[in-house]
Amino acid sequence: MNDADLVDVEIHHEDTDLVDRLIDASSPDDHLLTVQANRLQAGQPDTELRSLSHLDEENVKLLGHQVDAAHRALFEMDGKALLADEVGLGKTIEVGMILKEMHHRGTDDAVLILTPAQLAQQWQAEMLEKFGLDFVCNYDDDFAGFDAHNHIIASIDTAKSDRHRSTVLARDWDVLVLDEAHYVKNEDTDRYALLEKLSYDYAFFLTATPIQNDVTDLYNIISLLRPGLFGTREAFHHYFVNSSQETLVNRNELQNRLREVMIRNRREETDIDFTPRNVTTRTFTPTPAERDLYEAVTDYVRSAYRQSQGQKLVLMTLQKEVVSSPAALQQTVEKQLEGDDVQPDRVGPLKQILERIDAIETPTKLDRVQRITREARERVDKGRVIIFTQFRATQQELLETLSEKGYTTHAFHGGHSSDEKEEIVERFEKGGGVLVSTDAMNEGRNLQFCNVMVNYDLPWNPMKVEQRIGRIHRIGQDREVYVFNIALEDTIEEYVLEKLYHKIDLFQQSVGELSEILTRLEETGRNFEDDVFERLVEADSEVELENDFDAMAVDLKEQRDLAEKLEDFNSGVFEGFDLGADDD
Amino acid sequence: MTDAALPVTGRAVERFTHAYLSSLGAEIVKDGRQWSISLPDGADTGLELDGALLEVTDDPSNVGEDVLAIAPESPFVERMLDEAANRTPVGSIALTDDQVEIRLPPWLTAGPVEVADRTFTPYYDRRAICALFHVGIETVSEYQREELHAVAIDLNDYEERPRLAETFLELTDGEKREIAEGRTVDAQVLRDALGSGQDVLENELSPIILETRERATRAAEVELDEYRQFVRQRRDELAEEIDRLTTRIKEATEAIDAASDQEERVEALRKRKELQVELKDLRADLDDLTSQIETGYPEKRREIRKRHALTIRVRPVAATSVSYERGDLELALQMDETELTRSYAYAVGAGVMEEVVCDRCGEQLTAENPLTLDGDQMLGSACCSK
Repeated sequence: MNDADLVDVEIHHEDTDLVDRLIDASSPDDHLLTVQANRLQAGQPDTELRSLSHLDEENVKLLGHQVDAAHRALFEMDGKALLADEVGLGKTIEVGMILKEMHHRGTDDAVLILTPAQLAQQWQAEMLEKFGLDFVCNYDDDFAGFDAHNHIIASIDTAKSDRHRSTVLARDWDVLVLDEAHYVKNEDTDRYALLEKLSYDYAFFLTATPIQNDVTDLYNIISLLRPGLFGTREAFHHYFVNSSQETLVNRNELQNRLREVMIRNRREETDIDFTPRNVTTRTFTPTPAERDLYEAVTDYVRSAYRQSQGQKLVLMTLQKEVVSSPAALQQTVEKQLEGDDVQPDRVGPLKQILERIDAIETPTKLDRVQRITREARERVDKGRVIIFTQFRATQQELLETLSEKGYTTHAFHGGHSSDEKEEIVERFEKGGGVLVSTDAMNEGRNLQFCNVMVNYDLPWNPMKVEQRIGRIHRIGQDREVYVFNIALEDTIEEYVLEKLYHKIDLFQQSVGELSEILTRLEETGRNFEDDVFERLVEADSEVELENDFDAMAVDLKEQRDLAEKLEDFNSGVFEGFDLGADDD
Repeated sequence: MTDAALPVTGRAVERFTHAYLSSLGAEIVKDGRQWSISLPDGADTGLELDGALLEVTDDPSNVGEDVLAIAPESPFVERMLDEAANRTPVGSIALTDDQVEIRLPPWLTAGPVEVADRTFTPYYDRRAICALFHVGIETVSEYQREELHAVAIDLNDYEERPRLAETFLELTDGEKREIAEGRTVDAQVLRDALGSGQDVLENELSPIILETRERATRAAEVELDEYRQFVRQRRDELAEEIDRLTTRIKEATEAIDAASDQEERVEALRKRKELQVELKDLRADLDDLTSQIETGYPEKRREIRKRHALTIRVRPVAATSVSYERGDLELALQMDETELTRSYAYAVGAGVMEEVVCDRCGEQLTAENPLTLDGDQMLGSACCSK
């Protein structure tokens, strides 16, 4: 029996009263209005992206290929699409546009965005800042479960956990977004099972590498979006994969079917053109007093962490502050001493730290950063430089020192209202000088009028570093960008910079490439910041520490190489595929 | 068959609203994007428009509570379209050469020959029915598709006139035009023309139906395949259970033979009987599954066939009797130094009504084989041009 028999075709000619309505025939104008009304009723409800005009161009610059992808996903693919642009082309922006449009049309009552854990908050910030879409993230303090909010961004592993799984599955979601969809490729995993059971009307899956191991991955991902598009697994294999499973056959047919559901923009086809990025790392010898302080703090952090790991966050902060500025460290130490829960045996070491802070007159970094600002004042338009720091106390110290030296300064931190932030950026653009900012500078801010940036201290999460750079090195920047990293020799910062960031060419990676590396790392059950911290506190000697960081670097490089290989592999597989819209 | 849907843009909706309200006799006072409406007594509409305030907007949710939004998909516009779509579904128009531009054939426009002059001489009127058909295509595995197609059927030979349908759609795209009234048709003629239109439509929908059927078949195959796997798995499980039961029955028989007293023997007999009943049931199940496998799952196929059936519904929603002038079109053709005059059977709106062939080889002239001139000969560019 032939499977083609499975679908019967019935054609019904329905009754009409047109013949009876002959007597109604009146002026041609009235009749033609009826004809037009029928034609309008049959027309696609206007498929323009109506929300685009509501977007603030200051916050998000949309590119042609992104608008096109959002339009096709919504209107040509009936709201079920695999967005598979090559890395760095802005798939998140495409989804943002889609969600904005759905919001505008009122079809987004319940939206769930599932991402790898390390990217959830990044998604949340981007949706809010670029598109004004407010999502609750499962890491927010006020997150009260998957049945308590209508717009949720969550790590996929949280969603599939025993605690949340039933509430996630109990809802009918209007829209499901799945980032890094290739991690849900294996049909035998809990993640796949969750996706398979989720109830949703529209779905947008994102990946730059739809194929990880073999083309079955593609089958699995597409089958979640459009069950039946490729027929059975066996039929798919039989038809599209040759027996050795190494090459594709019947590419044209595969392309035709993929075109119904997949959009893949390639970098070479877009008009994205970034100016060069120059990164200089300057390491300085600390003064003996700074060295003493660094060692005291590191010893304190190590021993406190070995005693109790509950204080991890505070200890991590101390370790970060000691390389940022004595001022930042001082505030935290004083707070610790003033707190009720300080352990008696820690009071002594903390007081010693305070004494060592007092012994430092001018921090070396504070002194050396002025060489950069001086140079910028002479060589750059309006002497504009942005200095980033993670800590408000460091920021304050920088502002005071630079003002004293006659610089025009601007402070930017999370305490300002949106309007104030707007004004600060405007003043910086018009007046020039130095903008000292914490990481509260949001992604959407348009700062490409400035092309010099200093990392006064370094976040241990590479994504944050890239976000800082991305604020000036973005589409629309027409000059070369200069990034300066400053660090003290033989400190955690130097390790992170030299061993890790440079090994993976962090400063030359795009956000897309980085998120791929970080997600791969997360797949192995690790978190970058925790890794850095634990290697630092657990090393018993300098040599061990160095070896540990080397090992981490090798690991990272492997992940990066794997990510690159996969990207190359996918480019190869899809080579010759015109997965864009036809010209006609 | 021609796709008759109009893109629902803000401008199209605004234009239609104005035309429709005017046709109801409404007085429209515009103040920027806001329209105040007054309706005459007894206006033929169910819309509560008298004294209403309308607003042209991009965002229907953004207008005041008492204001009706003029925007694609706004509730007011949808109600208005529902009413208008059903108001006067049958009518007539007349096409004359002063309303409709001369339509030159593709075998001429696609080639190097220019038209220096054109003269149309009408001899008589022909009539056609231009009908709009609503087509719904439904399957369980595909999105439901709703389409609107236009078909023009000539009332002389009941043949399709595709170019006339195109002209009809051009004339009804919402732009303001003066169009004369035509002649009505009688009921039987309309019925016959709609019947012919349905046949044409059915024929021309077949590629779409075929494609949709292929997709639906793939989805149905997946379902059947999953069921196949389930049945085979269940068959293996049953076979294993039967083996186990057979062993247990054997053990029960041994227990009967070895029983030392009657009670023990009766108990063993009872147990064996129970097991035998169970075995019989399982064997029946297994036979059923085996037969399903052997016969290719007829029941499941029936069930899938029922669920995945592809239904196409065709319904005429509007019919226009179109009178169009038929006559001769005289064309003065020119290429380089060569000039020729030729005359063709022509109908307003439908274009040149005859096939034209290459003077040298007899090949038909088309957009792919357009006209070129060689002396006083009309040649195909592809077939006979030097």
